[in-house]
Amino acid sequence: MSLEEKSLNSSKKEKKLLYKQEKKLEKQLEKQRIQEEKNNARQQEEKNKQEILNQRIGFNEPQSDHEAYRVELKHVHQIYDKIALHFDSTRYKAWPIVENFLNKQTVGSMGVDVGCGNGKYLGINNDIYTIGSDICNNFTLICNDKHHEALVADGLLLPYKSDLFEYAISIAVIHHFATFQRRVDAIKEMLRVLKPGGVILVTSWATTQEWKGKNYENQDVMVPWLFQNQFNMDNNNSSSSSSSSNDNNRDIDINNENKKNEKENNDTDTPKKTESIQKSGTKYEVFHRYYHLFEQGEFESIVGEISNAEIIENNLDHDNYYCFIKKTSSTIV
Amino acid sequence: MKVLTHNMMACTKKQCMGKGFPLGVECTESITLEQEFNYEFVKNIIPKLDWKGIQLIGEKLAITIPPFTEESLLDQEFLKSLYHLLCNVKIITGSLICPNCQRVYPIEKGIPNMLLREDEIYQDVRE
Repeated sequence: MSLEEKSLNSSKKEKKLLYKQEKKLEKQLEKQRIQEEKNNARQQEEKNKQEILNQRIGFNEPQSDHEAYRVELKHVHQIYDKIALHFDSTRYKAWPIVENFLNKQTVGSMGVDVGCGNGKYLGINNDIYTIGSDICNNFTLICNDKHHEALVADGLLLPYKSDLFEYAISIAVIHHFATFQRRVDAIKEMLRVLKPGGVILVTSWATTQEWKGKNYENQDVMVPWLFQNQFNMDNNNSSSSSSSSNDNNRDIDINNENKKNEKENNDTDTPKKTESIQKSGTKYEVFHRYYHLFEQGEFESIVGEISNAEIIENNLDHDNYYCFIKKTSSTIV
Repeated sequence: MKVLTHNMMACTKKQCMGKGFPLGVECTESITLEQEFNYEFVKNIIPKLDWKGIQLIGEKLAITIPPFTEESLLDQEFLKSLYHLLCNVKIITGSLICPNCQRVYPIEKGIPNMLLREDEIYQDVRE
């Protein structure tokens, strides 16, 4: 091969290389463009989703734990603090699944009720020791009036030592946490205080709500509470709660009882600020509570995130999911 | 707050995990309940008790419990006085203090308030 041929050859090679590089660059640019388009579409989709969510529940999906904390404070805790006494007058019959779970614990077993509300489950079995906690001060006052053990605490920061209790219950509470991670953290925190082998019973509202004759289309919803002003705790002394709560003569079926108040409202999708309505001569103030309704498989996803837990049983009963979760090994801090 | 509840409690701060107990106790008002002695109950909770915590709160309430020994389980008087302290003495007003971070939690109307303030939970967040 002559020198000329050689240089010709190498310049050909260079050209080829250059061509290849160009092509590569083009491809990269194209890739970038597609990615950008995808990103834009995703952003737009996210924005639309947020807008829909905002219209429906009155606020955007929380983007951080702190934001979620504030959503829960405003749309859950403050509402319950306001309606606590009225809520108490409608919640008195124990759910058999919870009752059985508490009754089968051995004498001297100790446990916690996280989000104990009006303390409906704190006096079920006197041979065991259940400490109730709620983030709403007014609920703990009601529990105390009924001579139950209760304290004010955040479900994500329980004031107990680790690896100590035999059982935990959290009834219709986990659906008030505003992000998936916080729902996982709530279960983790309950597991932390349990002994290995200890069991949690946790329940949540389901998206299927047969009592309403319809299913919720969305998981994140605002559920109205029709508040009667006679239950205002700001004017009343909390000790008056006993008058309404001890009325055990009314024998109301559990699924009716649980939804007695909400049942009258079908407009769950119209949220936001306090409003008043008149119904059969009685004036009600309407308060909206945030709920994340559970879908099939949701407890499995949550427990799937936790290494030292397993689901023993998970089922639907009266439009509520109930899930028994066992702690398989000690908490690693 | 009953004495038995205190025995299970700890500071809620993450930094105090494993170190925030037994909580120090200040008591300005307490009441005595009259629940009947339950032998099975007290026998079964004994393995879960923290005797350091019982000593600490007993001193504050001026109720002394003799040290726990192997024979204590057969000692009816011991078990009765232990049950009485754990389940029949209730603090109405006072406070709980973390031995690790010194955070003070108030007890009012018989209820300890263990809730942290927003800035205690999200101290790193700047907005």
